[in-house]
Amino acid sequence: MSVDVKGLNKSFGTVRAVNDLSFSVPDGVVTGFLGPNGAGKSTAMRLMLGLDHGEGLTLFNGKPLAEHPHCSTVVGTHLDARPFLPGRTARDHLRMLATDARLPDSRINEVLELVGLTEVANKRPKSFSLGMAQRLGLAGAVLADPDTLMLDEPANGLDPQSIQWLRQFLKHYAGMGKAVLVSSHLLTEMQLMADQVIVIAKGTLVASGTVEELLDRRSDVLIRCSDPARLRASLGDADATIEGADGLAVVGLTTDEVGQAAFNAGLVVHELAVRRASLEDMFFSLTGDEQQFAFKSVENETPTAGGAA
Amino acid sequence: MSAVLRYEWLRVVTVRSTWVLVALGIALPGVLAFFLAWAGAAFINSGNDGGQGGPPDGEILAPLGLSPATVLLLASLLVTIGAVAFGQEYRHGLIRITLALFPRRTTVFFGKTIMVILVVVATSIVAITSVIVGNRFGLAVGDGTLEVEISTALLLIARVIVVITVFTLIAFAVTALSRNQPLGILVPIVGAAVVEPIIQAIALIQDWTWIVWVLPFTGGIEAVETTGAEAWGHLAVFVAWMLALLIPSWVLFVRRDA
Repeated sequence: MSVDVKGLNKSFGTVRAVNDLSFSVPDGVVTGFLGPNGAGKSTAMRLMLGLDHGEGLTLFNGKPLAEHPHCSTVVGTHLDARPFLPGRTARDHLRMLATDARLPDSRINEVLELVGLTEVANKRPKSFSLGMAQRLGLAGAVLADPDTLMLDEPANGLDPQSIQWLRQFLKHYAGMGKAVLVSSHLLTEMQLMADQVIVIAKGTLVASGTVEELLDRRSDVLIRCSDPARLRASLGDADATIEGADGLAVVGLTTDEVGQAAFNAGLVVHELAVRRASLEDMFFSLTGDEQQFAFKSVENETPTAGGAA
Repeated sequence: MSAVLRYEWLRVVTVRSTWVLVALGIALPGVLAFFLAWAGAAFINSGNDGGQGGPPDGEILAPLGLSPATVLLLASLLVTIGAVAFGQEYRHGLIRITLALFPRRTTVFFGKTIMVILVVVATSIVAITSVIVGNRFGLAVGDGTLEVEISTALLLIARVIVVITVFTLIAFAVTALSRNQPLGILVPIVGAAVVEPIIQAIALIQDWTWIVWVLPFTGGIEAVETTGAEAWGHLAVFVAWMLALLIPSWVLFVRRDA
């Protein structure tokens, strides 16, 4: 296990930002770190790296980060959108980061080429777009080819091509036996990118597992038939809910099992389908009312022209 | 520690502002020393000094041209090098990268301290050379002479270097304590040029002669203006003030969230 997190706790005054958080980030897969704004994702990442002080322990390859002689080869981080001095060239920024592992200039050239910043390597990044800044941050994170990558919202500001490249790159990186932890609010993107997810809300772990496992828990079978109430009765203890006049949503059974039950009950079946939950559905069902600074609901509001009341 | 020092060295030399400050720190005091020596020699040669052969207390012709004004000018430029050591890190979020790379915070703190000292001492040595050259050149142009005892001059140079370094370390410590770069730059400059002169003026009225032994920046200037045990005493006061800021800034750097 590349990263093992045990009992992280952190409070800001009376607010509990991270609450007894424990999880593992295995090698060889991309692990998504999900949670609403203010859930404690960034704080947890800072605690893992020892940037914030709190309770708990994080082991990288079995040891706390500070006990490794060259930390840049253990974990590469990209935690802020613009983590560089605007007046220092991109190349010089990477030269600084290369000092820990005494990396040669050729490695700096490699990562600049990897993220597509070779042409602007000797420019000061004060005029970089957010997407270019993210690429430079990513270049710094992967510079020493670390065993673990920790990225906080790395897709922010990237265009669709860059996001697709990032997804492929992180999959490839994890495929080399590395651990990758990525926090993101882009749930559809995370569904494509992550192999497993860790979901937190109000600093507490609410779910973890592979994406498939979590989605299976939230998926159901919808059957539209001539008498859904009779079908529900025939299913016994199964978790089934009537939807509309002829629908029945069944959790925990396959389409074969539900179809067979309908046949046995002598019902006419109009539709039988699996309703696959998305990561977004799963996320909202787990964290729906846990957003720290919630928006006012506009579902029942009447739209007004030009914003006039 | 060697990796931290390499990191700090690149942090210092890869920004343009460092070179601008170093260049100004070397050139301006030299130019100032030239004009002071030239004007001073011309003043003495004009006979307006009452035939004293040159004022003794560094009012016009300081030994080697190292007047308090020169020291304050150089210190005012170099305090920025001290302030940016932490100021840039907090202002641009680099501190998280630095501490993820080097989690041992005490090593980072003293790596920064050592690099600031090395840069300031090296710049001061070149700047003092520039001042001496400017002074000699000004005297030559103004047709003046000033005898200098080598041992006294070397001790003065040593005190000047320490005073400028302590000025810079105060800026370094204030920035680390407050995480505020402008404050780190302003405290030594405003303290030395505005606040303490006002306190001294009040002290003069009240006849508080002891005040020069308490004020930090006054102590620094007195260490350059006086000689012998008195000078070293003033320097000790200045260093004590610096340590009183530096030690808490180290403790807080280790304990606070990045």
